[in-house]
Amino acid sequence: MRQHATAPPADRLEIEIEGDEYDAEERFHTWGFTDGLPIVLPTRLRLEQMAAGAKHYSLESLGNLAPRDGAATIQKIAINAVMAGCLPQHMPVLEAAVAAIVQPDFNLIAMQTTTHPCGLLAIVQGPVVEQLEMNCGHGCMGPGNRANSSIGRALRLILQNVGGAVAGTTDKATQGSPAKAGFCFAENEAESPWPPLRTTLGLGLEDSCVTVAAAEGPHNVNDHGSSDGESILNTIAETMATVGSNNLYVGGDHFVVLGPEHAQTVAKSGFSREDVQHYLYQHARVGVDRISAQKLAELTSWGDYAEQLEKWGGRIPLARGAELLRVLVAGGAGKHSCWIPTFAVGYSQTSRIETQKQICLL
Amino acid sequence: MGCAVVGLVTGQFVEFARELLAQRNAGSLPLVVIEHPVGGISRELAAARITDAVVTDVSAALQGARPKGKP
Repeated sequence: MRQHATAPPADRLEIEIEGDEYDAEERFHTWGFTDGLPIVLPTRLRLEQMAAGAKHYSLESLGNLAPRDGAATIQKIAINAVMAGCLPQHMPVLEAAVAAIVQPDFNLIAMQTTTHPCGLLAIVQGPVVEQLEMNCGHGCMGPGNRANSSIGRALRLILQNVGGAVAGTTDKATQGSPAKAGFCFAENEAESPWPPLRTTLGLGLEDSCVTVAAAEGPHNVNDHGSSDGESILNTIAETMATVGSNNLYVGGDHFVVLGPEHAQTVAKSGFSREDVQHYLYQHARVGVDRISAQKLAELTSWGDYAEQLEKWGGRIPLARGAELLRVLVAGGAGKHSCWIPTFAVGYSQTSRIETQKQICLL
Repeated sequence: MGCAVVGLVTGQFVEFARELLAQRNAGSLPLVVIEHPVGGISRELAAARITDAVVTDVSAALQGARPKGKP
């Protein structure tokens, strides 16, 4: 159980703590400002250094974060970035991610308060990946890379400390997930046989961006045997075709992240990214005979689901449209890929990572 | 004039609902508590969660009275 030995200070931006750093950090744990792990104390000097890396001005807000509707000012983002162990050059990624999660279609309040175990997935793309020395290769989904780990962690702390989603209180995840602690990786553009993901999202090759989603952890797809694209895609489709996924029941968009070796095999078999999307849309389906009668009765009591079931011929597609499967490449050598299901009550959002200081709109 | 509203919440989620409403500046929204859970049970059992007392509380709340036993 989370316990607060003392009430947190009303003015969170100006905290005076007597004692050494150890005492101060313990106080942060007691106030419930951490994710349970040690933090870097956000002293005034560290905060100023971090905020200097931002592309917006310190008091500017990028929006209000539900459920508390806390203003996501650059100052508050920087505080949580310090606590998470970020470097100042990571700030533009955090700014872009926050700008993305406040978009109405992301449905932040539902993500923050649901019983579903969704974390905040952040996929960083473009030239910034190399500039920040992010990991898009072996083990990119964790652990071991400072930018990947600290950016993912900072986003969780921002959701908690600015948005007010506190585990067990306002964050009602039944079990939670390791992905909620931080889930950030980069696209492996160099080893992708297809154009970068961002080019399908309205951005150019010269742009850097971050795509955020309310996502589960990765579901592994092991296929060491298949030597042609169709066979690999069948393995992926069957891995996706599970009866416990929100995507099966609700829809939403979700992610298929191919390891470079799988991606090369699939591409050599003639599949474009669009072909992959269409193939998985057609083949990643669950027959109604695999769903319990009670569950099916519940589903068909909602909206137009019964009508949809007829249209689908009793085989429910994991994605409601091929374009809702986001296909990209990440990882290193080996015969593994993954599917990242989502909360589905909302859609992923992508925001450009700014490279120039922005004009203050205050 | 607005529309009279009352929230229905199961016992396991009542503190969560109160905290969330307070954060959203809607702390005065009346809540009527029903037995948990409402999922994973038969429709008949779920319907039985709406007892006469719940109906009375909802009706009272819609008319401006605070549900019985609620602070």
